[in-house]
Amino acid sequence: MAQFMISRPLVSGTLAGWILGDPATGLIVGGTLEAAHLGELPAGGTRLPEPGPAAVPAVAAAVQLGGVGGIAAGLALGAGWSLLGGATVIGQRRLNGRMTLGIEEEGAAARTVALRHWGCIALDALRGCLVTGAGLIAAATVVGWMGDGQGSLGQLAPGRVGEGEFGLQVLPPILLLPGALAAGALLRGWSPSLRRAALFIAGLVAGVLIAGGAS
Amino acid sequence: MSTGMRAVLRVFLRSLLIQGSWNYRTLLGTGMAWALLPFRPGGRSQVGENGGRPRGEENGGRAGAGANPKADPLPESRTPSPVEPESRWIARMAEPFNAHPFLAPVAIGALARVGQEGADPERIRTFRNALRGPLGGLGDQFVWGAWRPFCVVAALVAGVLGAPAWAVITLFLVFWNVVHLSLRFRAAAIGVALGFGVADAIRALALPRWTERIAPPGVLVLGLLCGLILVRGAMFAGDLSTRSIWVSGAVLTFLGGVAGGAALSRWAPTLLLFLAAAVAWLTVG
Repeated sequence: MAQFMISRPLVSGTLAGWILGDPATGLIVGGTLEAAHLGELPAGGTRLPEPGPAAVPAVAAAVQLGGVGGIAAGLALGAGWSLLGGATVIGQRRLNGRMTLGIEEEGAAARTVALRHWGCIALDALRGCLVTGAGLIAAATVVGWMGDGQGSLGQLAPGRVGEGEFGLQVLPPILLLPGALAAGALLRGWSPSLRRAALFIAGLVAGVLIAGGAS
Repeated sequence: MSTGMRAVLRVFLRSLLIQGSWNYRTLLGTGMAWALLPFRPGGRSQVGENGGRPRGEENGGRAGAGANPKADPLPESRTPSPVEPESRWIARMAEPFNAHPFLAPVAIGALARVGQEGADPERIRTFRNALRGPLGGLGDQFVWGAWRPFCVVAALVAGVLGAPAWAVITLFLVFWNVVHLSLRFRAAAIGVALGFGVADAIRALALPRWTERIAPPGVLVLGLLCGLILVRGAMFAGDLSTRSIWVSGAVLTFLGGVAGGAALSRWAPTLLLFLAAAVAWLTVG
C-alpha cells in the first residue's frame, strides 16, 4: 500500500523462511519469484500477478517438502497463487469503485470520504490476509500430496521430492530460466545501445570469472 | 515547526496511502480527495504562514521554479472569494486523476496551495488535468522502469555471492526506500511551495536523466548477475552434455526475453515455473 516494498516476494519470502527456520530457502524462493517478475512495469491499472503474498505459501511448501523438488513445487504454487492474487487485486479495485461511487458526482461529507477510503484500505488488508491464508492451506495440501506430510496445517512433515539423479541435474537450471527471461526483458527495457551491450558483456564476464573462481 | 513544513509533512504522510481506494472509475481521484481533506475550505491545515488566506492570482499564476514558501510570502490584502460548499469541493477533488504515487504529492501539495489561495475552480481543474500525464509518465519510467529493477538486481547479486538473507533484504529495502521516501518528500515540498508553478520544478527533478544514469550501472550489475547464475546453474547440471543443454536453454530464454520484452515477461516466467514443478512431480522419489 505505502510501497515500502515489504510485501515484495524477496522480502516476504525471506521473512517467511526465517519464521519457518530456513531463511536460505525463503531467500531462494522469494528471490526467484522476484526475479521472475523483474521485467514487469506496474504502471497505472496494469493487470499483473501479485507475487508478494504468494511467496509466503510458496516458501512454506518449499521448506516442508525440502530439497530442490520442494523449491520447484513451492515456486509453482507461488506462481499460480500470484495469478490468483492478481485476480483478487482486480476484484478489489472494482469493489473500491463501488464503495466510492458517486463521490465525484454528488460530493460527500469529509467524514464519509475518510470512512470509505479507510474502508477500502481495510478491505485490501483483509484481502491480503485471505490470499495468504488460503495459500497456506493450498501449501499444506501440496505438501500432503507430493511429500510424506499428512496434508493438514497442523501435521506437516518434511518430505522429499525431485531428489532423484535426473531431478537434481535438471531442476536447478530450470528454476533459473524464468529469471533469465525476465533479465532479457529488463535489458530490453534499459534500451540496449552498443555501449550498454558492452557493459552487459563486461558484467557477464566478471560474473562468470567470479563464479568460476569461487568454485 | 513552520506552517509550511507541517503542510509538507501532512501531504507526504497522506500520499503514502493515496492508492488505498484506487479504482477503475476515478483511478486516484478518491484518494486525492482524502489526501486533500485537511486542506479543504475550513479544514485544520494551512499551507502558508498567513493562515492560507487567499492570495493574488497574479502571484499564484506565475510562481516559477525558484519559488518556495520563504521567498514567496502570501499577500494578506486579497478579499476571500465566497466559500464553496464542502461536498461540492470534495466532488471536484474526487474527479478522475492519475499520477505515479511517488509524484502524486506534487499534485496534492499544489492543489492544497492553490485551493487555499482562492484560485478559480475551473482553472484548478485545468491545472489538475494538465498534471496527470507528466506525473504518471515520468514516475513510471524512473521508479518502475529503472530504480526498482536496479534495487532487485543489486540485492540478488548480494544473495548469489553468499550474503546472509537478512543482509540481502536490508540492502534491498534501504536502497529502495532512501530514494522512495526522499522523492515523495521532495515532491510534497515542491507542490506546497509552488502551487501553479510546479512545472519547472518537475522538470528540474530531471527524472529522465536519472533514468538514463541508472541504466549503465544497472546493465553492468544485470550482466554480473547473469554471469554468476549461468555458471552456478551449469555446475548443478551434471555432465557436459546436460550443461550444454542448460547453457543453450538459458541463452535462448534470455534472448526470448530481449525479443519479447515486458509483454512476454508477463506470462512466460509463470509457465516456466510450472514446467519446473512438472519436472519435480515426475521425479518424485
